[in-house]
Amino acid sequence: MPKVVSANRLADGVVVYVGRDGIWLEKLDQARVFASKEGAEEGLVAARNDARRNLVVEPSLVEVAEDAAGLHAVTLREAIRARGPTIDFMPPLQEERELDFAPDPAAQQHIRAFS
Amino acid sequence: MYRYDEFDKSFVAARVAQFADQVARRLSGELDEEQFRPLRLMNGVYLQLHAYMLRVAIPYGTLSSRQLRKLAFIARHYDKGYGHFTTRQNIQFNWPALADCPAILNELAEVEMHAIQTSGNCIRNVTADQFAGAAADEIEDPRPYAEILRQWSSLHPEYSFLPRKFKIAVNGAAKDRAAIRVHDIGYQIVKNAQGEVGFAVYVGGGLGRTPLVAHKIRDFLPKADLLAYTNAILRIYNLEGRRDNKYKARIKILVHEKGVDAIRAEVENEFSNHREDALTLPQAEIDRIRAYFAPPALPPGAATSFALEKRKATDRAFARFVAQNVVAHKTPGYGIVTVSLKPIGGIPGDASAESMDAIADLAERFSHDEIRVAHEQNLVLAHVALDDLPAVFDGLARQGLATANTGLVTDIISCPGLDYCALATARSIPVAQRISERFGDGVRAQEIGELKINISGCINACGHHHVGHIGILGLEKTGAEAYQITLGGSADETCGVGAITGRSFSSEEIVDAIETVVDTYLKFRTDRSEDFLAAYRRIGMEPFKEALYARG
Repeated sequence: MPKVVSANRLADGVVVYVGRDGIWLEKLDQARVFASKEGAEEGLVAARNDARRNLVVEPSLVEVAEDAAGLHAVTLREAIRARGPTIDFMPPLQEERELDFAPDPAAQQHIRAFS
Repeated sequence: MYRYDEFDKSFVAARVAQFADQVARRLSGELDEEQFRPLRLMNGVYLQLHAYMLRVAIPYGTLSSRQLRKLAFIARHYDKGYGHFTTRQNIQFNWPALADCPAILNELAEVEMHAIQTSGNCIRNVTADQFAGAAADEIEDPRPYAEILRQWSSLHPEYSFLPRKFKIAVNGAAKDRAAIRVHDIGYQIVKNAQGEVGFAVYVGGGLGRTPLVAHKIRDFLPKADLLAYTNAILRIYNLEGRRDNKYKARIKILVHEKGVDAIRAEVENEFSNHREDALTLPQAEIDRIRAYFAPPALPPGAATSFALEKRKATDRAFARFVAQNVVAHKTPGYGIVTVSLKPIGGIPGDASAESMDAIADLAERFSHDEIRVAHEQNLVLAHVALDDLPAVFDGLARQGLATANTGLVTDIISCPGLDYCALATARSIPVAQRISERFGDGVRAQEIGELKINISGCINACGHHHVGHIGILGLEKTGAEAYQITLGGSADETCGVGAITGRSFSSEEIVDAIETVVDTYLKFRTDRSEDFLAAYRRIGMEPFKEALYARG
């Protein structure tokens, strides 16, 4: 099964994925996909180096699949890591809130597919 | 309430400076993750699914409005505008950056708060019942003793590396509102035949993978011996608790394996052999601490308030709020108000910064500046004049905080679950929301009466599902969420662990299944006065099993 490499950013704990050029990014759908087991292992070794360089913590491999909507995690846990909590946790009146953490309807639909 | 003296202030300041230095050294790489992890855990900083999580201690669940406003400030400036109140009377922030944690801790230190010992294998927050110091049925305020235990257990050199976490609760009325029988040590305030106030001592309770009800090892412990006796229990646990297996490391396992009589004998032996004067509490010291918790000056009012009755007569929603969310205060003319953090369809225990500020304002104006956190994840305004209840209700209603559901089917305890927690196996919050919406805020919930639903998103049971009247445990089965139902649990003085109904339910099925359980209760209860727990204890599991699983 194809995999991506994921971790949490050290400074703020945000979920990140290794992108195609080896840079850590926040969006799973832009992550580099490792089709082979060996490739994935190499990716994990590189990620562990980044952990030693204090960029990230707890790197791991995440199983992914591709469909019409794009790349997504296979397990519910990893889908939640990728998209954020499935609940509407942001309080209503938030002028200065970063809106990109609000749950996105496509993601909600996808996560509902697990239930 | 207790106010830090100079010693405490300088200690907390030094601790924050120390942690700030540790964070800086982690970010620079001087400390690696393995070295740093235990240090950050000692300061309440967890790594969860999406972000770090900071658990701030709220000693015995008591807050001033100044402190609550500071929590609102932190939510607003360092987090995403909200916090979550927990089943141990603490607050959790779900999105702090590690790099910001020292600044957050500095903010907390300004109002005498911290995150010390909210994680790790040490003595955690000492909890008490949320109506402490106010309830009409109270024998004595448990909080001074919780405070004494807090001071003694903070950075205790002998007990900083226990086999596992250790949780103590103190309860002040005959009614157990602090779930003491599912704590490692539970102290129940009692009066002996001579009229002296002391403690009944319970040991070895706990939830998690192996739920066990605590055993009473002492009928009466004099107040003066509180620390010496606690010390004896901790010493035995520290020596004999298992360190080879994380899942068998709590004192409940030790008590279960050796038997309560053996443990009692060891504790009593340790206590009498090491009755160091240093730990015997002089009455002057008890009095000094008790003075911090002296009730506010409450000029007694009439038992009936004209303003209150007038408003109740014309405003049904208000009347329901008073009936459901206000309980008797020890001083005539006052009531204790529960502020529900369980709006219909809302996230149990979450409060926005705006809500926190509003509650702080109401507390300052109408409740002598005091707010409590209930382990059921609600907040409490402890000293409200009956005359002021209309204004308090209006203030809460403006914020959507006036749901009249204390103890009802929609007053659900839920852990954060798989939406947040790295340990979780299933989501808990959406299930709570859907159940809440199913039963709603009207006549139906009222008709059902007292019914405590507790939901945990994994076997660690942070949602206290084992002791819910209805418990729900979220598991994973072949990649999908599966929910197991337990019935008949109780966290009060009739404490018991719920029994599993049978096979689990899918996410689609679980809310219907809960409704089936409730409908079964309604069908079989003798009348409205027999609540769910009483009915279950009378009729047993069979009718519920049949309704849930027998298909015609």
